[in-house]
Amino acid sequence: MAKSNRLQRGLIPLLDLLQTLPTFVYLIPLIFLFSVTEPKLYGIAIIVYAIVPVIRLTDLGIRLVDQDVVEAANAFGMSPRQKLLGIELPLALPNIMAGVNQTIMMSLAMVVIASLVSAPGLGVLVLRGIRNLELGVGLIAGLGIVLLAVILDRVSKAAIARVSTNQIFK
Amino acid sequence: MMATPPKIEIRNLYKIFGSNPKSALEKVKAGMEKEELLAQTDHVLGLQDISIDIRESAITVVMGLSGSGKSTLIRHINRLIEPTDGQVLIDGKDALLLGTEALRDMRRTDMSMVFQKFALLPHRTILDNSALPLEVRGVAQSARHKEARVWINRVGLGGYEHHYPYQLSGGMQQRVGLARALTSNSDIMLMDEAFSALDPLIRSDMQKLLLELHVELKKTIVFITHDLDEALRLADHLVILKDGAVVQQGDPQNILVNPTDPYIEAFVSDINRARVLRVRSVMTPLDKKIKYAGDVSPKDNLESLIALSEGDTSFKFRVVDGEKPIGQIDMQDLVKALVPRVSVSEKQNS
Repeated sequence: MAKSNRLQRGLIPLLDLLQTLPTFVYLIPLIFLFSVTEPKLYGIAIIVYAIVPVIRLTDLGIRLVDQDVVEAANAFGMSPRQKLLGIELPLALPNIMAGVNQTIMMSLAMVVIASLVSAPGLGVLVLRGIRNLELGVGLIAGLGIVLLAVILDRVSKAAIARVSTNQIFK
Repeated sequence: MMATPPKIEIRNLYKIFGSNPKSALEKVKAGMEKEELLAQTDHVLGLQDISIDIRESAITVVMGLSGSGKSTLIRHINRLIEPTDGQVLIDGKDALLLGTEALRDMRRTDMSMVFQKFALLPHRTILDNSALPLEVRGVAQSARHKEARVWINRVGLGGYEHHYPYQLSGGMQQRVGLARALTSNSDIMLMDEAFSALDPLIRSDMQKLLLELHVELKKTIVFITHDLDEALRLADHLVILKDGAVVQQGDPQNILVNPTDPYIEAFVSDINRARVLRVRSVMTPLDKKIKYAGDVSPKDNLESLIALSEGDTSFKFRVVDGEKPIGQIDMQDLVKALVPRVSVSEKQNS
């Protein structure tokens, strides 16, 4: 996608659609078309919803790689594969990691909603709390999700900081 | 000298930037000027009918102001830019006929490039940066590191192997750029304003280093610059570009003494002629009858001769190349040569 402007033009509307579609709408085709009942398939819905930032930021990251460096790579006869693995992906890594961080955060937000269609997990407990006015259960499950989010956020941000200090960003 | 064919021949090269360069090319060949082309067809004439012979083991300097097309020209040699029309022959073979694989092979083994903005890989150490050309070719790590270390030491960066580019100053980064080009061990080195981003003192050091390396390695070097002093210091063959066309090319001394174009006269009027001009450009045939004040080499510059004569213009020196007397130099001729030639039009105005 970062290599072809045409592909980018085609994919961007699709990504916009995926990102702006109300989250329930994702669940409809899964239930009615595929009659999904297995827990792991709810993972698919969550991934489809949350994958967008990773794609966008990887694309952006590769496009932002210093063109002078890419030119040097060409001048020394690097093949497209050598360029991708040796230059573009490593230099885009901070952006890619930022995308991973966003994706994790968005999938956690999706957890509760997916539980409405009986996806298992902490989301179910939150839902039970709301339905039965069991304040304690809902609160604890909610806090559990927040705690999980905080931990994952910190871990992935630490990873970003690590790849960044390894590199240019003076 | 004439017997050896040129290493790189550029023949009638045109480059036109725009949506339909082929149709614009016909207009240019029919005699349309750059401004007219831009106004009528919205195409930019980058290079116009460039023909240059680049001799093996010589430094060819292409000089021009920004926008003259010099960086575009150098990128045609390794085809980072595709020409609109014309030929680029390397060792007599047309580089424009190469397919993707063959082109990649040529870039890997036959030529290396040094960039104005260094273009080092920021996430790799100096050692890995310098070893890049060999890594691309698939040389094993220990072998390529060994070779890279040799050149890192040669450019004076021994001890910095495990630093990253951002930890180095501009001058040192460009030394890495040079080490990287040398590690590739290719015959041709393309240098795109390689020293233009450096301070004057460091630039002077780098020029010295390049000249030393050239004496040692005899590489064919194509050097791009906008700085006339730099061009005159390095060039064996000087090409002056203006608006995408060659204005004058040849021996730099000759261009200095006999500029053919007001544009070049304006250029050369600002420089220190005594330092740049050499005895061989001013000397006259030997006259056996007179007595000489001393012997000088044809390679001496006029500044050193003025120092030798202590400013006395009545002296004459004999020019000796090795053992053989080849001519004489009259201090009065020398003084005349120091006066820049003024074009005819300017004389009429004053």
